[in-house]
Amino acid sequence: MNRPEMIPCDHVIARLWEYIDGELNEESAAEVRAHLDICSRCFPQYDFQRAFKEFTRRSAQKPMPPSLRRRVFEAIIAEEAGQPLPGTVPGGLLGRLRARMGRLLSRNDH
Amino acid sequence: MRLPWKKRPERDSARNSSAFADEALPHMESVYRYALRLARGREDQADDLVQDTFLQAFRAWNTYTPGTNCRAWLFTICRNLFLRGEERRGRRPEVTGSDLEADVESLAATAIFSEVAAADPEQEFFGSFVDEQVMQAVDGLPDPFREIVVLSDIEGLSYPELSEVLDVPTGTVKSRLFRGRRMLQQSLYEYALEMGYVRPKERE
Repeated sequence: MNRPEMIPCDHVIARLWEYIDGELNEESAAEVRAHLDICSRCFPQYDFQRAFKEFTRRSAQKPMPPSLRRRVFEAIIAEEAGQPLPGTVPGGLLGRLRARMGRLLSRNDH
Repeated sequence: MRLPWKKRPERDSARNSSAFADEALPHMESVYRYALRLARGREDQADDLVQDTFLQAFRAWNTYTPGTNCRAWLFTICRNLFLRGEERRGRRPEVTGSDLEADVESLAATAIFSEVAAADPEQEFFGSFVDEQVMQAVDGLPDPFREIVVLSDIEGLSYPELSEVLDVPTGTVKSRLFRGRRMLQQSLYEYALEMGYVRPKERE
């Protein structure tokens, strides 16, 4: 026995990814949620798709090598030193940038 | 009293460097993950992409509006550098217009769910892969599908952000993303069958 606000299964499946991605408006999301709460056919699909998305994200968490981070910082420092922008105070900015980069390096190196 | 010319945009480069360090540099891991997948796992190409992205972003920092979406801006730069590099290497786009538009009939999330559910009632599917295998499956996707799956499912961009970075309308974002996910699921499912992680569904 369907309650009046229940939407059919195929509507839910058609919007499942948008629901998982958080892209439905509040009203549509509430309709999908209400359906999933009680539908034993749609819920496992939802559960699988949600798990798959999380599985993809988790599998991609290889951290960036510290040597590359250092290489990028050094390239920016060299760029800054080689081509001072108009109105710069020579020395001061390089020191500030280097200090800041140094802090970021030490924060991320361990 | 406030002098109007004091309101002019800040040109002091120490301040620029400082803002760049605050707003752009924290996204380096994200850009690295994206670059590594664009390069299909080739580390030297990814490293160059990351360095070039941040150098270019630093040079163009005065065109960035503070407080807007810096990460999306960096992804756009990275993507353009990648595409230009591919062009230089003489690589043709892998998927052309008509192929990209095709297959709008089923954007539903059914994909391989029923097959996996039948083959793997114990839900061991996800636990059977190591990260490298999943990333190889991602790297096997054609460019337009690979990059959208990475930006959405790994980096968490919203549809409007994807639309901005990839320069396509939201409808295209959806169809491309959903197809990319299905391709990835299909590829991993086939791999799992091949490796014996799951057994094929028995036909009754």
